[in-house]
Parts: sequence; structure tokens; C-alpha cells
Amino acid sequence: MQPFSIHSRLKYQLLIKIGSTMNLLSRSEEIILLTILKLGEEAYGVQIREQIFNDTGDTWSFASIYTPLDKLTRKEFVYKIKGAPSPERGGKSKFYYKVTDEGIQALREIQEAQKQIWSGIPDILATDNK
Amino acid sequence: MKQKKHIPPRTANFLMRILLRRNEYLEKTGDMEEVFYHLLEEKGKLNAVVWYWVQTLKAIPALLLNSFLWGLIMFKSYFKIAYRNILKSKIYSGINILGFAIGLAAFILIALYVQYEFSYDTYNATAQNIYRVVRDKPGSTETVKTSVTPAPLGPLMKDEFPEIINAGRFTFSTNEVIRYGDKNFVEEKVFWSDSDIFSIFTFPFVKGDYKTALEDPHSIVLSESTAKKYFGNENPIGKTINFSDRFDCKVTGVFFDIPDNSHFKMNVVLPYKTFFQMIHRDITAWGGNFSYTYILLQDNTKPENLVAKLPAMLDTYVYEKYAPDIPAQYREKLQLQSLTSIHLHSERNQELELNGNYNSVLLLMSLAILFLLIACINYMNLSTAKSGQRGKEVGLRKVIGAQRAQLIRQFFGESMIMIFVAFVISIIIILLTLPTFNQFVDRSLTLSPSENPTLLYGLIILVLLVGLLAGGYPALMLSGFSPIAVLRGTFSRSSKGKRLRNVLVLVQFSITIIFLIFTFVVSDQLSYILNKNVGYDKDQVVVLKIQDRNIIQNLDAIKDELHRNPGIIAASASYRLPNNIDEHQGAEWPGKDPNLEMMLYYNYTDENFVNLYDIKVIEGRNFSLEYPSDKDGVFLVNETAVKMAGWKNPVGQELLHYSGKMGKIIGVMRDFNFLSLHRTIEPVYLYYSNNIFDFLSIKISPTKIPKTLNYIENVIKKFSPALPFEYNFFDEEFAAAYATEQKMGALFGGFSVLAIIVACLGLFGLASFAAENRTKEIGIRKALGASVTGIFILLAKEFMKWVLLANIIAWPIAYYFMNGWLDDFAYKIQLGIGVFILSGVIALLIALLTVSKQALKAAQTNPINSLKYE
Repeated sequence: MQPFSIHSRLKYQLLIKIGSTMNLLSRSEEIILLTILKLGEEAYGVQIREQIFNDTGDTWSFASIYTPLDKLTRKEFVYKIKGAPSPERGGKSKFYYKVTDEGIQALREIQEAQKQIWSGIPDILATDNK
Repeated sequence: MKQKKHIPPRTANFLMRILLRRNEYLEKTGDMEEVFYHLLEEKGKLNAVVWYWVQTLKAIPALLLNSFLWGLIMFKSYFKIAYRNILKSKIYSGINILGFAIGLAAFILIALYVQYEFSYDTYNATAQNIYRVVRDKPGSTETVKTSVTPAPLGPLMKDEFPEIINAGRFTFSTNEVIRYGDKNFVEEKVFWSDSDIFSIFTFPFVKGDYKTALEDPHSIVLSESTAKKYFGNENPIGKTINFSDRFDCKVTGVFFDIPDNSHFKMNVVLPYKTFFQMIHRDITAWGGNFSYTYILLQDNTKPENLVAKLPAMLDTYVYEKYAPDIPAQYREKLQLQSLTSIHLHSERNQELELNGNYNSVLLLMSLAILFLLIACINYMNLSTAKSGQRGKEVGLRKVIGAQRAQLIRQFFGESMIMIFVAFVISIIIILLTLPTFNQFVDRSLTLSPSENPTLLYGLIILVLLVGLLAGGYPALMLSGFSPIAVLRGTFSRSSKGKRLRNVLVLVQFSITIIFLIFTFVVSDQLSYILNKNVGYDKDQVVVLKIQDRNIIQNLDAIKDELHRNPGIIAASASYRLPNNIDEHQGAEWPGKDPNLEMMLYYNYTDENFVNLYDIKVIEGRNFSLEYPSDKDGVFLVNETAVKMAGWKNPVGQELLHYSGKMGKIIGVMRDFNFLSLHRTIEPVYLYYSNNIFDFLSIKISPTKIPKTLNYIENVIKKFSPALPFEYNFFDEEFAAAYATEQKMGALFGGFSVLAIIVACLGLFGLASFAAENRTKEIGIRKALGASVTGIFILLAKEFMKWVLLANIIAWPIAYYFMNGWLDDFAYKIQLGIGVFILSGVIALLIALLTVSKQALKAAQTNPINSLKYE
């Protein structure tokens, strides 16, 4: 893992304060975290985007992937590993993402929360689905 | 495997590069590039490029926010460091900030004034289409340019040219008395105007209709503040007031006060035609030029095209009808002046108010910029002078991994903070000095952003620009230090900035010396003028402006009563005072050489005038009551008139008076300066009169002046009970004629003080820097036996030689400008070497004083302290 500079820490604290008042993950963060988990070793930008397309059918712009990814990095739910430069990227490196223990914990929390939220509603949905 | 012919758009990548740090840039563009090449193969170039751009643009808002937040964090850090640095060296920072604040304050004040000067008349909605019609009268020697035109001109032009939407004219009379109930108000200027003026200019009405308000010949329209002055809170409409004992008139309208930045300000307006009834003149007659004509042109009309058609119009309607004999080259020409250019560019006779001067506005502006530059230079100077201290910090930061760009940003941040503080201080300075400054320039400038919306943006841009300018050099220089050199200690303490710094000292002191010379020359010239023997006595004379006709009618009784008081030596009535006989006529006498062109200035006086002002009659005699024939009209002329006319025996010579009456010269006066001392003595005559008077001069004895003034007031009140008693001392009035010069002297004085302060602040900083930089050298010198004096001289010499050199630059420049300025005076001081040397010595002394504290401190340090370092 790459060490963080003092400034980065300051920035994270501030951004967390400004950015999210909730401790729960946002929907896009959740989707991205799960996708990274699912992709395992091959989780980098292009792959994440493709996997999301395969799973949801939506085309996400890179910006809509990077924004939650950056946020997740800041919250230390994921970390980046710099790969070798590859010719198909114009000689630029791939950056692979891994989910940290805190990330897994956050996913657990949201799962728990979702269960709680959904717990009173299944009847209505069942009728709707028919 | 792939041909790299097509690569992603460079511009898009560049945008990303700016907004992202390197690693993030590589990741994100790498990802995008990967997809780009896929798209390139599958869907072609266009598709891929468009996709790439769309992705980039979508990413930008988030990235911007990101980098802004980063900036915020960094700002906090910079702020802290800047704050610590400022506190660490309080004197430096104090000097730096104060110098900057003063420079900024001077700049902003002058910029406010300049902005105001350029804003004249621009508030009119159709300002760019409004023109004033003015007249050039060609003469045999020079063309007389006036701003007044004949009455029928406006209506004729409107009838004649379809491109003129509207034409209006007005004239004014002075010192009219308005009576409402038992209250009397003296109005210095009363306007007589067409109602068209109100539709040409944007002078909206509060009450009444501007189109019909002036229809009735005995109607009157007032400005809001004047209406308030007359009637308080009562409704002014329909009120009847008496106009100068001539007629009663009814208030039919009230308009909003005309803004101060107008080239004329109307407060009381009566119908134009009424003026003609009052003076028994035909409103359609072409003789008599006393009207101001304004026209409103249609959009896209070229004024020069209209001007080209005007001579033909005058020929048809005026010259061929009334004066076909006047040759073409002597026929008057009409010109158009754009409304917004009048205040700064018009220099004609009979202007409505004292106009501004474009050149002096430009001069002031360049001086202000100069000041701002000096302040910036100082800032740069002091910041780089501290480089020795900051060098280590820079080195360490670089070792830890700071990039140059980050350091630049840091130093910029520091500069911006200092400049912002300076800016706040300068605003406080301005708020404190603005009332005095307003009085000085006779304008109503304001800092309030609501009244001056462009000001706020201007100030913000100014601060940013100045920050960029002043902060740029230190930021680039300090951030460029090599960490190895700095940290190893071999870092030579910035000898590369030395030449620049010396040049800056040179420039600053040149400017200081120039201003000092200006100040001394102007004040010398002023005291010369005010003390010059002008050929008459100007002391202990009280001057009253005659406003009440009752005074003229009872003049003999008033004079008798005044003479009864032992404190009063003499009383005399005259048309003009002896320092300002400003009207002239062509001279005519029987047997005059027709080729001789001679202008004669004239004044009407009673028999006491010459004695009261102690004007010597060197031939013949003064006007006298003992010669009843004097009443028929006799002249006193001056020596210059005699010389120019070539009269062998002036006494008894006949002369034609302006009114067409022939009279005899009864005496010759010794020459006296009856015009401003800008001009030489011209031919003049005094004409004996008993009613054409504007002033009453009273010579009093120097003792018991208050008591005498009281007596005078009682006498005047007896004959003019309604009007307030106002008087001036003649010598004050005499000095007031040189108000421009006095203001200029004060201005240069102020500038000198500013320049000295700012230059000294800079020098002080540099001196301490130099002393600090040479501690080791001084230590060694002292160890080897140098004396305190020797070291003091060594340190002081380094700056003094630049100050001396500054003299060489300053002297010719100052000489050039002051010589030009003095050329405007017919009577002037000789520009001697004295003031130059004096200014140089003052600058040198001040510089020495500034440097000496630091130099002494350095010279007195114990060499042990500066040499041991284990």
C-alpha cells in the first residue's frame, strides 16, 4: 500500500466532512465495491466499467466511475496498485483496485441496513411483481 | 500490433493533465485510452474521438471541484506558514505591508478621481448622440473659439436637417434674488431654457410635466434640493415666488438634482423666451451670442457630415441676408462637440463651468501608476532581500519532495495574503482621507460600491494583478534555489538580484528627487507671485460683491456713511477688481492708423478707485468730482496703452468708448498687473462711471478690524436688508486666482512625502538585508582592526552612491518639466541650481538616516558573535 502524505490525510478528513454526512455507502459506491470484489485481480477502470455494463445494462461514463472510486480511496475502503505500463494504453500503467477490510465492513453495514429497510415491505413488492 | 497513427485528442489530455496529479492522470487517461483504441478499431476515428471528448468533458466538473478542495487544504497550510513568517519578522512585514498600503491608497484615490473625470455626462441615456454646437470666429491673427451661439441657431438647425431629432438652447444670468414670503435666496446661476433641453438630457421630473412646465412665460422649474431649500417640506407645485423684483412666477415642475458629474448644473430654470422679454431683445435675431445650443442626433449619424453642411446653412440664412460683405475667410464656423468630451476636452471661452483638463488627468494617472509600481518594486525588493532566510526553508521543502510549482504557489499565496492585508489598510486610509481629498479636487468621489458598481470589480482585479506582479518575481526566484547549494551552505546570498535591487533604489530615489524639485519650484514661484509688486496695494482691502441694485442707487450715501468711520480709509465702487480686468474691446480713436490692431481692456470705476488701490497717476489727473464734465465720460489709460497707440500727448486725446461715445483721456496711470501674472501687462483704460459696478472695495486701517467690519455690515444692511452680508479680503481673492497653482504645489508636496516614505521603507529593508548578509565580512574586518566608522561608511556608501546617481537622472527631467511649467507665467522665478542641490541633499540625508540605524548596528556587533559557528 502506498503511504499517505500528511496533506492527503488532511484532505480526506475535510472531504469526508464535506462530502458525506452519512456513514453508509452510496448506491454507486456499493455497486463499484461489489464489482471490484467480483473482478478480483483484474479490477481496473476499464474492467470495472465493463462489468457494471454487463450486470446492470447501463453505460457509465468514466467520470461517474472515478468520482465514487476516488471517494472510496479517500475513505480507505479501496486501495490502488500500480501495474506495469501496457502498450494498448499508450504506455500508461493500469491501476488495480483492491477492497480493504474497512471496505468489506462497509459493505456488511449496508447489507445489514438494507435488510432492515426492506424488512417491512416484502408483501407489497410481492403483489406488485405479479 | 497497433499502428499508433491515431492517438487520443491532445487537448483533452492536456485538460486532464492540468486538473490531475501525475499518477491519477496516468490512470484515468490510461483507462480511457484503452477504450479509445478499441473504439478506434471497431467504429472508426470520429466516433472514438467524440467519445473521448465526451468522457473528458463529463469528468471535468468533478475534477474541478476536486482540485479546488485540494487548493483549499493547501491554502490553509500556506496561510499558516505565511502567518508565521509575517510574525517572525515583524519589522520587515510591517514595512512591506505599510509601504504597499500607502502606494495602493494613493493609486486608488487617483484612480477614483480619474474615473470620475471620465464619467462626466455619461449618465445621459442618449449621451453618445448629444452634441453641443459651438462657434469659431476667425480673426486676422487668431481664431476665437467660444461655446456660445446665437439664439435662432437651434430651431433653424432642427428645421433644416432631418438627422437632428431635437435641438434645445439655454442661457443663464447670475446673482438673481428669489423671494418666497419673507425669505430671500441669492442664486448664483439661474438658467433660461427651452423645454427641449429636458427631452435631450436625462433630467427626469419628480413633479410636473417637462413638456409643458415652461410654457407659461411666468413659470419656474426647480431642482429637488432647491425646492426643498425654498419651501421645506411643503409641496412646491403652484407656489408663487418673486424673481429678482421683476415679476412673480409659479412653480410648475421639480426635477431630480442633476448629478455632480455634469458639465453644467441647473437648479433654477425659467422659460427661455422670458429672458428675451426681460432684456427687450428679439428671440429670432442673429446678433448676440449668449445661448448654449445642444442637439440630439439620430443613431448612426456622423457628426462630421453634419458639420460639413453647416457653413452653407449659415451663408444662406445669415450672411447673405444680413452681412453679405463679410469675406468667406472671416465668416464664423460652427462645430459640434460630443457631450461626453466637453468636460475633459473643451477649452473655449465662456464655458458653463470650469472644465477638467485631459492632460492633467493623464499625468495624474501616470503618476498613480508610477506609485503603484514603486510599491510593487519595494515589495519585490524586500521579499527577495529576505531570500537568505527563506533559502533554507526552500531547500528543505525540496529535499522532502516539494515540486517547484508547489513552492511557487506557496510564495504566491504569501504575497496574496500580504497584499490583501495591505489592501484592507489602504481602504481604511482612503476612507479617512477621502473627505479631504474631495475638498481638494472639488469633486464628490465615493467608495460606495452601490454608487460605483465597476469599482468593486476594478479593485478585485487590481489586487489580483498587483499580487501577480509583485508576488511573481519573489515566487519565481525563491522557488528556483538549488537545495544542494542552500543546504550545504555554499549558497551565495543572491548576488544575482543585487543589480536589480540597486536599479530599483536608483529609480525610487530619482522619482523622489523629481517630486522634491517640483514641490520647491512650485512653492517658490507661488510665493514670488503672491509677493510680487503688482503696481497696486492689495492689503487691508475688504471686497463686497454688489448684488442689490439698491446699493448702486444709494452708492453716494453708503460711501458717505462708510467714510464717517475712522477705521475706514476709503471706499470705492468698480466693475472689476484691479487683479482681474478681463473684458476688452477693439481700440478706436480719431486719426488711428487703420492697420494698427489694438485691444483695450476696460474697467468702470468711481473717483476713489485709483487712490484706494494706490495706483500712481503719472500724467494728468485722476477722476474728480471737482470737474463736473467728468460725468460725461472720461478715461484713465495706462502707460502700455500710450506706448502702443503712439500718443505723443495722451492727456486730452480722444478715445471711442465701447458704447460708441467719444471721450477724453484725462490721465495716464503707471502700469499695474491687472490680469493674472501668467500674462504680461496689456493696454487698459478706466472709464468714469456712477452705476456700472459689481464690487465695492473698502480700505480699512489695520487696527480694530472686527469692529470696522461690524460697522460695514450695519451700513450695508441698512440699504440691503434682505441679502446676507458677505465679504472677502482682497489679498485672499488675489491669492484665490492662483488656486490651481496652489493645489498643484500641495499635490506635489503630497507626492514627495509619499515617494519619500515608500522609498525609505524600501531602503530600510535593503539596508538591513545588506547588513545581515555581510555579518561575517564585517566580523573579519573588525577582527583585522576596522573601526566602527570605517564599517559604517562601507555599508552606507553602497546605497549613497545610488542616491547620488539618482540626482543625475532626476535633475534633467525635473528641469525639463519645471521649465515648461514656468513658461506659462509671464512673471517667473529664475530656475537656479539651488533647488536641485537642495532636493538632492534632502534625499541624501533622508537616505542616510534610513540606512544609518542598520549600518551602525552591523558595525557595532561583536565580531566573535558573527564569526564563531561551532
